[in-house]
Amino acid sequence: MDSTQLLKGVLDTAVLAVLERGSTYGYDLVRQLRTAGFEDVGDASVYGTLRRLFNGGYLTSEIVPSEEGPARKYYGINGAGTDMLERSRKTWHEFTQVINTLLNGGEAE
Amino acid sequence: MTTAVSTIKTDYLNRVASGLGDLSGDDREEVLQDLHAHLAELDEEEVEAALGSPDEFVAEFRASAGLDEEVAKTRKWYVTTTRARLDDTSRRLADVVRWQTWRPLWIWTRGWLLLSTIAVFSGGTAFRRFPIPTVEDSTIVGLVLLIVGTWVSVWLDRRKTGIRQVGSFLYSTVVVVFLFSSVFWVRDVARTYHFEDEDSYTERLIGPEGETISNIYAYDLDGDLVQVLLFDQDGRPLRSLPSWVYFEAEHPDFSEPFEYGEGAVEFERDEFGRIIPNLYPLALYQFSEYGLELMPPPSLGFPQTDQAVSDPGDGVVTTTITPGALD
Repeated sequence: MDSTQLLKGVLDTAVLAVLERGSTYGYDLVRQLRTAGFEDVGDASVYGTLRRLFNGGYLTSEIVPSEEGPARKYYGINGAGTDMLERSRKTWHEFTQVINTLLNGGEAE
Repeated sequence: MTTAVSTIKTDYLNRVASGLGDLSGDDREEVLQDLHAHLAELDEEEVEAALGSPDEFVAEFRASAGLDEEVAKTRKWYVTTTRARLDDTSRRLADVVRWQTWRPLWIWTRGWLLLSTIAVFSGGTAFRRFPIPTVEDSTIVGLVLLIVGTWVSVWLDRRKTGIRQVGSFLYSTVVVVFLFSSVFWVRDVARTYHFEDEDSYTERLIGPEGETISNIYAYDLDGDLVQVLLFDQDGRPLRSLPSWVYFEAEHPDFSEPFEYGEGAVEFERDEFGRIIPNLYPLALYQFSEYGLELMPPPSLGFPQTDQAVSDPGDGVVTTTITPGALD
């Protein structure tokens, strides 16, 4: 199964989950996602997701000057983002439970 | 880590910006700000490997951000496309007309303006031997001052130092020589065209065989050469030289006789110093191994027993024929 298609469906949740650990900038966010196991995630997809979540009112942003190069835009999660993450977390657990049951030969409720 | 934005990275940013041309300026800048910081973390050779081509980046970004859905909801497709194309064109134009390309010419022009101003205020001229200003009738002094002026201008351009300063100076010189050589070449070509295609057939006097008439000699019945003012049927003064000769000969800085491609001419002038273009015969000079020589009147074409040609120095050639020659 192509994990890329799965990733697209959960990228919003993955980004929010990383930002829940703490604010960070785009390049570091991509790096954290890859370290977590999303090796195929595209950089542009992450930035697209950040833009969509920010415009949706789920993120905050702050420009922080950098001594090593241009200023970085740090993204953080706000209250609406946290609520969304909680809902996604619940949905994900329910969803995986159903899938696990099916894959293990059980019957869905 | 690379902190400076290289040409490759700048080009990448520009192409991504072009692909996001339908976004508002602020919206696009937000995206580019992220991308700018991201590129700073990469080496040049890593850029496309990490991000894909600019087109791929844009396509992936648009899909992920849901941009195409937004655009479809908010704008007509042709507005979006037209705006994107205009932005792309203006960006490419800005790449072609880079200010840095024209900087050497500006540096030289600045130096030339400085020296020309000095030359004019010291009694010289800026255009007589353009581009070299003439100071006190000396082109050498003008040339030296021009070099000094250019050097001062380069020095003013403080951001360049050391060998780059010398390079900028040499580059300015090459650019300027090329530019003005081109200008003079174009002017010469234009003159040739004007002379061959227009003057010969429309503005200059033509003989029975189609030959160009340069001068006209009038004699009275006694065989004496006389000066005449010639006009056409509409009262316009007849002219037998290329029209630009009359125009340029009016310039007070030109010495007389005024030289032009075919020879030289010394016009009579009225009380206001203006040339009289149709007073014939003209005092025409031709080039010879001894320099410029006044052209004598042609053979009169009828019996002559004696002929003397004199030039009293006033530009009028007088021919004397022995009385009875016309009988």
